[in-house]
Amino acid sequence: MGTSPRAETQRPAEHSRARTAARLCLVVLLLFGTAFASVPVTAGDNVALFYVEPDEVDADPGETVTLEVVMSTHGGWSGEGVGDAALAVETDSDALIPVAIDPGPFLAGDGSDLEVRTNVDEENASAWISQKRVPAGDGATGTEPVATVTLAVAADAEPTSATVSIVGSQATLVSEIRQATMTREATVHVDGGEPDDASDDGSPEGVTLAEDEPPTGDDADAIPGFGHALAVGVLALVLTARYARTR
Amino acid sequence: MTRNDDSNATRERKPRQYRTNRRGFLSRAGAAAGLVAVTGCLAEDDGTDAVPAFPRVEDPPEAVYVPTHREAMRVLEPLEAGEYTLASMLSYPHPFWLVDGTETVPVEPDSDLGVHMMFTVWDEATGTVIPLDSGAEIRLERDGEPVGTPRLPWTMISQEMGVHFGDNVPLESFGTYTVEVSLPPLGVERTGALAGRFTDGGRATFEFDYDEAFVEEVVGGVEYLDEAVWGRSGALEPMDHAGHGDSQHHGDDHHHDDGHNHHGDTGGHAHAHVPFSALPASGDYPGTHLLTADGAYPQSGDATFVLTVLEAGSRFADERYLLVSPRTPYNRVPLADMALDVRLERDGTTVQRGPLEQTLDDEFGLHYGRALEDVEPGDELTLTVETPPQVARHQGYETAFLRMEPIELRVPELG
Amino acid sequence: MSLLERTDLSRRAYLRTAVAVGGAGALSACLERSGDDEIPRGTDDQRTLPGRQHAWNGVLERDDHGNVRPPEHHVLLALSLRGEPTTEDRETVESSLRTLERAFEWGASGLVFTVGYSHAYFERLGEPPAGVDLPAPTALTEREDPEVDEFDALVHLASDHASAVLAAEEALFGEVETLNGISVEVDLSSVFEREGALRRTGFVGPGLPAAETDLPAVPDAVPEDAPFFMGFRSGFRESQASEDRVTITEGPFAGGTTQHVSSMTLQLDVWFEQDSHAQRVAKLFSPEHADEGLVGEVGERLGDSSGLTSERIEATANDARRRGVVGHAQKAARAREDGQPLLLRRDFNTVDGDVPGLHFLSLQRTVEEFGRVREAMNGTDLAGSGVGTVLNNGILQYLFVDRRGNYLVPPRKHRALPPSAPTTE
Repeated sequence: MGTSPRAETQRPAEHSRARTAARLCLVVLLLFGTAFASVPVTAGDNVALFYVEPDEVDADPGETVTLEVVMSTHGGWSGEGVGDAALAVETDSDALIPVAIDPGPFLAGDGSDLEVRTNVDEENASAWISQKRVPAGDGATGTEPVATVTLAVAADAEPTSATVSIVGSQATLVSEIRQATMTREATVHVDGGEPDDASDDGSPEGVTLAEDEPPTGDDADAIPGFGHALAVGVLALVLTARYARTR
Repeated sequence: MTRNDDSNATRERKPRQYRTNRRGFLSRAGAAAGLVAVTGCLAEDDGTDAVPAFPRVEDPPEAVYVPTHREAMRVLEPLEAGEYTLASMLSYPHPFWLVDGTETVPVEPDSDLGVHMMFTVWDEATGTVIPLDSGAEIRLERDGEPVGTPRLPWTMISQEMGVHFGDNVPLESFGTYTVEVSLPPLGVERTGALAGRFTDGGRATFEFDYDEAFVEEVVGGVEYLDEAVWGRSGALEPMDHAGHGDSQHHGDDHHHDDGHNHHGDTGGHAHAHVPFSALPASGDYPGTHLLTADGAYPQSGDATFVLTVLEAGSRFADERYLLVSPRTPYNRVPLADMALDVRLERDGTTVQRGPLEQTLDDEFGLHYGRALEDVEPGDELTLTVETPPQVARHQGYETAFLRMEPIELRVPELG
Repeated sequence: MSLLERTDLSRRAYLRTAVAVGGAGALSACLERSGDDEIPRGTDDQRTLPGRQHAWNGVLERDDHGNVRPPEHHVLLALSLRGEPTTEDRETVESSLRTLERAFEWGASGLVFTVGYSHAYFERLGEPPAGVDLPAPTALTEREDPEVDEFDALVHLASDHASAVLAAEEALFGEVETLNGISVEVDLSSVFEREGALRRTGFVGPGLPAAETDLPAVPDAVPEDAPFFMGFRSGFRESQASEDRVTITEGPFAGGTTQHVSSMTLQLDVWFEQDSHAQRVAKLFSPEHADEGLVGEVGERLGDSSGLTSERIEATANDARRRGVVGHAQKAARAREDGQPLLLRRDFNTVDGDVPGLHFLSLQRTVEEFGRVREAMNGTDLAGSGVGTVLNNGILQYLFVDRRGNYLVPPRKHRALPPSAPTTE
């Protein structure tokens, strides 16, 4: 059993050689990017999305897996793009160790340089990268890989299913205002490992779902407490702190 | 690729100004067609779901639903403004919806520079949150110079914040801003401990720093929920307003008259105790409750309606009194600025018909009421929503409480 | 809009700025740029001029629908007496005003103006004006806390020529030796002091509001053709009182009128960038106007009327309950008497202080009538019945009244420092 074809062919050195289809998409995106970013009344969130691609991949012990972190953003409300971005990834299994993190094409732009800082912490199974476009110009918008993460599968790994999560993420518009971020994770099936299907269908903390309500149609008698953890926010702060230390 | 240290350069710089040129935008024809092309293309290419330009809940139910994220905000210390107490809460500019009759009008910020400014206004003595449009006015200054023109924020409801006044306020650069809030006398009928109060307006002034730290706090603090729950019927729980974005939440029942008084609490540590505008639970209303045939509280447009007939001689009327308390499901947020009409029929003949009056009471909160001159068990009562609540909505409330069918009930044995 | 129109618009916007700045420098800049051909001279023959100072309609142009087209440039001069008025002062004032009439033809292509006197002026005289109720200005809504005009007199200058209003102002205070070729012998400076800080200026005309979008508080969304900042035409013949209706009919001030001037800031960001066009129409006119598309982009579908039938006016309370919104015009029209409006509006846009605003200048027979219309416009009776005190209750959410003033505009024969009870000759 090998890695998926896409993961096999995606090597850090090949980032500039984007697939033709993706290129085509990008052209369309750039053509219309500004226009649709500014069409009013979408009433969606102004948020930068980071997701790992592919979101599911198979890998054998001893193999190296390369995943892309794709960033998708329409930029700010007045059309400005992202000037710098940072993200941290983490795996939840000793079977999967990050060995490299490299920039993708998202922030690269004509006539501007990219300041890059990276760190790979094999001990804690995490890696981060921060990138800044200089000069920022109008910034970047659209959907493209912003980083490539190379993970080594331990030679002695047992079959398992490991999650690669983006534990911190940050996108700053060229107006120097931060964008909110959201993330999606990916799963690496090591040696045919299956995910433990202990998926919890209950309400996330701090959310009341209709199906959890008493069926009488009456309103709940008590307001539940408020105790959610701002996990993403806290990790983003951790990331910021790490970033600051490297300066 | 270069590596260098840009040290503190960014700290000194002000945010760049972006001025929207809507004429320019509007003149770019074909934008919508372009969007379709992009979406289709993405979906086809990477085999995953298309990534929307603006992540949003697709096709939300016509009901209260779980939004995409939980907002983060900075809560400032409560202030006295005449008889009113108010707390301001600051977040980043974000979309909301106005209501025009039974339709919504989405409002999007023009720029990321600025704040979403919110106020919860309440009566400290009774803990009653003021849920009404009363024309709160805000004026901003920076270094003694006015910033923009004055504005009257919208009355809004949100799952986390309940009833508040709010608006996106554009700011052109980082700095320290002074805000003057003027509240007029309360225009609504008041009963109970609120009768005769709030006949004068009030005014309060506060300052806030709009800076990188603030943006970090409110943007960095946004929590996106698991996409699996987006758009499902349900709601975020009300937030507890611990001060200054610190993540210490206390789980005590925070929406009732605990009589705490935090004024003069200038000891540096911020502990803004802001009440949440929850109405009493349905069971806490006296009188004879009007329920549906299957014994539930009636609903319309996903709002729950507590209808109760109070005995003659209550503090509301000499006759029997119909008290109607529409509220959001889950969080019991009162629904203000509705027009309700009631009709009582007996043996096919209308015995009484007329509008209900919006009333603010310290014990039962915002409700709509009317004296009933002649009501008997077995009467058919029809409650018509002539105008749904015209209050503006945060995400998760904008599809509910709009198309509201009449509620038909039979009057039970009266206590 | 053609290139020619654009060029013309930029010229007019420049002239607008000159009027706002005022003074000799602005006047000379204005004369250089205006390209004004000769401005027609006026007359020395008082008998050819109307007996009412406010008789402007007869000399102003009308559009195809018979609506009066207001002059483009406006200045309001706040004047304080230097001392108790004397007979000599009266002669000085009258002569100074006659200089303006000699220099410029009475009309928008020349100059029209009024002089009004405040409550404070008559207080100074020790007697209120005979037969006229002229109260001190006060707040007219619970929400406002306006400054009030406490100076003695207000001069309203208006013309299609920026140079005419500027030059007239300069002449009134002896800053120029000639005015449109007429020698300036006498001026007001020995009698009045100008309250420079209270000088107000403004403009009306299609395209002029949209030319102000460089100001941060004027959104780009102001429609290109709108004559007023709120984005719609106004001053329809049918919704304006006639000059006869606003004229005082009895007593020594018969032939005069009362003037209310409220200066307000407009909140246009919210109006244009949050509300939809349909909401703006509903809030300004009536929900039916919005639902049936009666107005058009900037009011071009309305002819000589704001389309307020008696049914639409009577439907106001019902619209609040059933539609959740009521229109400003609809509400205010409830104060009409026998279907006739009480106010003659001569309001104009302003960017004084670099924020968009309106100097709402209104003429009516009695100040009390203004109060009645304003009360109808407040819509307090509708609050809580489908609309709020402010929310969806017309355009209250977008208006911030900063100043109010009440004036008696006497008939021409008593326009120069009138005593409280002038004798009719």
